[in-house]
Parts: sequence; C-alpha cells; structure tokens
Amino acid sequence: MELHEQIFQYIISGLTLGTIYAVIALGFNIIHNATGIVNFVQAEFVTLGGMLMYSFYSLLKIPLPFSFLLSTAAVTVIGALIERGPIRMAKSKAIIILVFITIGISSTLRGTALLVWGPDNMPIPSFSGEKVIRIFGAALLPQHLWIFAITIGVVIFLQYFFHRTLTGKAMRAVSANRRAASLAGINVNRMILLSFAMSGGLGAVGGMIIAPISTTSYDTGVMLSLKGFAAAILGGYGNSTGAILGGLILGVLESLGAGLISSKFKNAFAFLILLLVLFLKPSGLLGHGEAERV
Amino acid sequence: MGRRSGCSMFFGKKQNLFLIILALLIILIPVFVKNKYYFTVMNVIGLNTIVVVGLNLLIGFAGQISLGHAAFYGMGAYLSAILTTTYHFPPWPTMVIAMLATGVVAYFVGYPSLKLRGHYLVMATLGFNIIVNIFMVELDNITGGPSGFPGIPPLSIGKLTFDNDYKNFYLIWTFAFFSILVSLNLVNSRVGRALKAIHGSEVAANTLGVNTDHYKTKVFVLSAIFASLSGSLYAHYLTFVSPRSFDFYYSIQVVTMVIVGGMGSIWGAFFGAGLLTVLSEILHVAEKYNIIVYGTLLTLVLVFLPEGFLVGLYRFYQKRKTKALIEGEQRLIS
Amino acid sequence: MNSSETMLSANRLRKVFGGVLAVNDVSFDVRRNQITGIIGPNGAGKTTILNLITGIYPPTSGNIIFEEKRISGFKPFQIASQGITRTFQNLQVFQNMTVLENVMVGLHTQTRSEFCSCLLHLPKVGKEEKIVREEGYELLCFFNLEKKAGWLSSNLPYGEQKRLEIARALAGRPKMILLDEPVAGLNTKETETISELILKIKEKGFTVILVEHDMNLVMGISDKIMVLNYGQKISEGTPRVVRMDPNVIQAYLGKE
Repeated sequence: MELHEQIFQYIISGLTLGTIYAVIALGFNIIHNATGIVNFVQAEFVTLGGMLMYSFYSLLKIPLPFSFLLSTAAVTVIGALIERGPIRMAKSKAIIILVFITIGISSTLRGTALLVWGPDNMPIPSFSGEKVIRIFGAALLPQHLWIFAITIGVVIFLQYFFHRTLTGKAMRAVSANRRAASLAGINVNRMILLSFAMSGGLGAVGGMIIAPISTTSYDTGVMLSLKGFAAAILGGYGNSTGAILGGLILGVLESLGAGLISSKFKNAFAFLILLLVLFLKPSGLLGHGEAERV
Repeated sequence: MGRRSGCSMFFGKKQNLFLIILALLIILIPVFVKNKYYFTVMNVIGLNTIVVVGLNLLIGFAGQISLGHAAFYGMGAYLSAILTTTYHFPPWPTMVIAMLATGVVAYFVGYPSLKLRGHYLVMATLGFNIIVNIFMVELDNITGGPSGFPGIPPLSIGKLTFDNDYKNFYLIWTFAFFSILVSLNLVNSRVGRALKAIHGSEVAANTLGVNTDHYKTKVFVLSAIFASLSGSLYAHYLTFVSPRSFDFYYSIQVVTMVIVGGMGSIWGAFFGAGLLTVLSEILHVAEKYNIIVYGTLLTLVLVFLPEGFLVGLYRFYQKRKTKALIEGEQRLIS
Repeated sequence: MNSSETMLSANRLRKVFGGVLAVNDVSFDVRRNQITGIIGPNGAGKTTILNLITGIYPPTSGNIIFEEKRISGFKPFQIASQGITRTFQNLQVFQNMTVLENVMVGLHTQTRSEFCSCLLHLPKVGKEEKIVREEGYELLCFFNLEKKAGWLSSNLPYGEQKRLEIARALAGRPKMILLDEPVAGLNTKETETISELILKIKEKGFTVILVEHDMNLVMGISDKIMVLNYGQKISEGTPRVVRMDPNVIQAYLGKE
C-alpha cells in the first residue's frame, strides 16, 4: 500500500474513532455546562452501553434495534438515578467533592460490572455484517458507516433539542446563569437530572456503536472516556461544536501517530495532545477564556 | 493574653502528644509483634502514609486535585530501581536525585495546570499519570516492561542492610514519622495558613499578599517529592517494581485515603492511609470485590461525611460546643 | 501637612467585559487619611473600580497610580504588598479557618518564612509565629472579637464575620483599605458599630475607600464622595455638595 493510501486509511479509522470521542465529549459537556462538574461516571456509561447490549442482544437474543434502544434507555435511567441519589443527597455541594463522588460512583459501577459480567471480553457482533467496503482505496467496515450515521443522527438530535425545544433552551439557560434561570421559573434540579440522563444515553450510544469493532469488557469505558474528555478540552470545554471538532481531530492525530510513528505509544498520544492543549491554550480550539467575577 | 487557638486540628500540646505516641508505637511494635505478614501490611501503610500526607497538603490544604500521584510515586521507584541496579549508583544519593528529578517534572506539569481551574488540573495530572505509566511499560529495555524490574538492592547504612520486613519497618516508619512531623510544621505556620487561605478563598488570599500560583505550584511539587521518596523506599524494600503498581487506579486510591481520612488533617491522612490499606488487604482475598468496595466507601463518605471521618466527627463536636455556648449566651441575655 | 496629599489617582479608567462597558473613562483622586465614598445605583461599576485598584483584573485602558507608583496591571498579591487591602461585597472570610487564623493570614505581608524554613520549623519561624499570633489577637481586641478567637469563622454571626473581614484587611498594616459594602445585610445597631469602627480606623491614620448603598453611613462619615452611574462619574465632592447635585438625584430617583 502506498504511503498516501496508508495515510488515508489512518485518517478514515481516525475519524471513526474520533466520532466516538466526540459523542463522549458531548456527554461530558452537557453535565459540565449544567453543573460545573467533571463527570467520571461517563466511563461507565460507555462501558454499560456495550455490556448491556451484549446481555440483551447476544444473551437474550432480543433483536438488534430493540437491544440498542433498551440499553440506551437503561443507561439513561442509571444516569438519572445517579443524579437523584448520591449527587442530590451530597451534603457538600463543593465541586471537588462532587467530582470525587463521581469517581466513587464510577468505581462502584465498574466493580459491579466486574462482578456481573466478569473480567473477560464480551463479543458483540457488528450491526450489519463484516463485508469490507472500499472507498477511495481505504477499507471500511459496515460498522464504521453505522458509527458515522448514528453519530450524525445524535448530533442533529442534540442541535434540534438544544435550539428548538423549550426544555433544551431551559438547559442552556441553566448553563449560562443558574440563578437567573431559576428566577425565570426553570426547575433547575430537573434540568440537572436531565443532563445526567442525557449524558448517560450519549455515553451508552458511544459504547454500543464502537463495541463490535473494539474490546468490550468491564473497564473499556475508562480509556475511551478519558480520551473523550481530552477531546472535549481540545475542542474547548463546554462547547458542542468544539467537542465534535476535538473528537475528530484527536481521533485522526492518534491514528496517524500510531500508524506512522509508533503503535506502542498509541494511548500516550491522546494525553500528550491533551497536556499540550492545557499548557498552551487551555481554552481549546473554540473555547473562550473563563473569567471569574468577584 | 487569652487562649491559644485550640481549634485548628490537633494543635500544640495535643499534637506533640500524638507524635510521642506514634514514636513509641514505632519503637515498640516490633518488640511485641512477630507476625511477618502484619509487618508487610504495616510497611505498606507506612509507604502509603508518606504519599498520602504529602498529597493531603495539596488536596486538603491548598484545595487542589491531583489524580496523577502514582506517576510521582512510580518515578521515585523506577529511578531508584534503574539507577541503583543497572548503573550501580549509590542508593541514598539516588533517592535524593530521584526526589529532585520528580520535583522538577512536577514543577513543569504543575505550574501551567495550577493556573487553571480545578478540572483542568485533574485531567492534566491524570493524563500525565497515563503517559508515565505507558512509558514504564513500553520502554522495556530500561524499565523491564510489563513484567517489571527485579533485583533492586536493599538500602543499607554501613553494615546494617535493610533486607527484611522487620528492619524495613523501622526504616519506612522513621521516614513516615518525619513526613508527618514536617507536614505538621508546615501546616501550623505562615505557609500552612496561606495554603488554607487559598482553599478558603483564592481571591481573598491573593488580595492579602499570598502569591497563589506560586504557593499552589510549590505545594504540588512538595507532594510529588513526598511520593517520590516513598517510591524509592518501596523499590528498595520490595526489590521489585512493576508498572501496574503505578497506574491511575493507585492515584485514585491515595486520593480516596486523603478524602476518607479527612482533607485538611494530617493525622486524618495517616488514618485514611491506614484504614484503606488494611481494607485493601482484607479484600485481597476476594479481589473482585476490591473495586466495588472502594468505590462504595468513597462515595458514601463523600456524600455523607465530606470532611472525612475524623474531621467530620471533630467538626460535629465543635458545632455542638459552639451551639452550647451560644445558647448559654442567649440565656444570659434573656 | 501630609493629610491632604493625594495617595491614589485613577486616570481615565476603562473596563470592558465582553460587550459590556463597565467603567467608562473614570478619573478620580483619593486623599491620604480621608474616607472617600463611592456610591451609585446597582451596576454602576463601583465594585469594578475596586477590582481594578486591587488588580483582580487589569483595566482595558487608563492607569492607576498609588504613592507615585503605577499599580494598574499588577497582580493582587503584588498590590497588597504595596499597601492596599480590601473587603468583599460577597464576604470572603476564610470559612475553613478560625477567627484568629483569618487575621493571621492578614499578616502575611508582614512576615517572611517560606516553605523550607516552615517545614523544618527553624527557630526564626517559631519567633515569627509568636509575634503574628500576639499581633493578631491584639487586633481582634480592637474589633471586639477576641473572645471568639478560637471559633471557626463560619460559626460567627454574619455581622461579626463582616467585622472579621475588616480586621483581617487591616492586619497587614496597609496604607489604604477598600471596603466593599461593609454594612450590607446588617441591622441598624451593627451598622453603627461598623460606622464607628471606620471612623476609628481613620483616626489611626489609615486611608479608606468606602463603597456603600447605605446613604446615611456614606454621607455621615465620608470626607469626599464620588458618584457613579452606568460606569461613568456623574458627581464628586463633599457629601453636602453631592447630596444636592441634580445629576445624582436624577440617577437615583429617575427623571422628575
């Protein structure tokens, strides 16, 4: 394979990976925008998406589209329960405490997943077969197309939701100014609940669409979501266009790095990029500086 | 002159008392306890204590989060391991070199991140931890790769070689004692107050003359140095290191110890290290339960006792006392 | 005599936040050992001016000169060591520390011990600690808070926390102290206490800038008042002059 064909291949697989990062980044952004917290449970949303898919589809033989919807629904509910439970009940509302609560919940869920499904990989079949498709010399699996299609669908849905529906606009109001939103009659707690639920759903979708072409076990979500977070920061934390851009760029850079430089350090690339962004331009590509008013 | 401020955690006479008790325990335990396994556990508690006490200065006092301290712990361990085994450097100076090197690296990671908001530091340190861990695994000619690096010489002073659990107990706990002592010194001083002030209100601290960026970075570097010291001791004690001990799960564990023990309390940090190390050992039998128990415990403490066990109880007692005083005053007035 | 000398002068200050012009071409002088009041409707830019003086953010244009040295553009901790401290509109008492400790932090600029000396608890650190503790306690006595020296400051009633914040700002022996709404939320008696305190502070030789909404207080104790509205200075002078200025009346009461 010639070099430019290789590079094209890397870019394509990078874009695929990148869309997953984008979906995960969007999930992080939603909660952060509504609450200011970094939600570490995002990792488990991703994992559970894949694991539940396995249980519903491979074990219980529920047809694919229903399994997909059921898993999404289940994780959405879990997200809501997390907000309703530990987050709402927390005695201290300090951000650092809440962030660590999410770390605690993340560990709890991961530990639960380990007990329920065990440490091994759960194989999930591709949504529509494994026949390789060739586009301009690059090899694509049908699953890659599913990944793109579903992600585009998700992005369109989110755009519509946040800009055309009352609830979505209410959520944006809460992000912009919580007190003003509450004074305007918006039920802030409900919006926060919704943000957790949505992040759950998003994480699950991300986990499910990549599951067939990557490993799915009790801790798959961790690395994926950390990179998703890096993507969010790269694009400008809190910014949805940034999340998508960041995800895609991160995916492509990681893929190119692994392919052209060294695949051993594949995972390090994402974090090296992250550190560079944090040190050089922490507001990311599309973000604006955060000012603190006294 | 009026009473001294007896309400900062364990100040003055009480503190000295605890230190004396600790010193006595360190000297006397090996006389009465003979079970080798207990020594192993206590030594691990000691190593964790050094890391956690330093980390507590960062998290509990300065109010900054780090999820990457396993990397500093690992740097101390690997630098000591590699320099003393492969290159035959003398162990004690190597330990100091490792501490300095780790400090420098911590400076370059910390300084830019600490200028930013909390979650940026979390990610920066986490990312840094992952990168370092990957290097530990992949640079296998130097580090021995995923299977680890064996054959590290134990520490020795003159003819005395610290080559068993019993002798290492004294070694490790002497260092642990001094890290607690030194931390207490720092906390009850101008610098300690400045750190607490940063935690209380960074903007107010700034307007009172505290160079907050500078202080945050310094305490970050200090906590990294503590971790590195502990890592070196670890390497010479176990004579073997592997990357798995230095992944970000360990970083989460030590942060859990700080939080459960009570942020902002040195003795709390010690308690947290002890409690959770023992818990971990107990769970080792059923390793699959390790993660879920840690997670649940962390979550429960954070939700209901965010100040940690010890500090939570102390504050509760304080509030009771204050309430009684206020009610007493009100009765006097009416 | 020094007492009428200009201590601080702000020249053509402008501050823009995003699209908002919070401070628009404001110039003023603050005289040594005087109480200068800044008043104006909400959103007039009063706190922004204080933030500019203390270096919380730099001015978009214009400068601030303090004792013949330019301070605009410097960081808050640097300005603090030049001798300017402040209190905050939204109370920034260190809730996690005791009353005495709060004041001791105020003495940060007067002390020198750094990390290494503190870690090792060198003798000079011990000596400094003793001095800081004693001075802090004395200051609490001046503010009538010494009985609660060991209390966690979050347990203090609101009025006393406000007092504590002033005490803390004074600890570092500043030349000038900025008070941002020191009596907001206080009842008449508490306001009177603060009012007397501010006059006592002036007696001791300090220079005060007072931002307040309580007209009785400001008119009662200020030597000079500046009035802001929508980021601009609309009046300046003694309380009597300002009180009768039609611009000021219009700003507060609206057009007749």
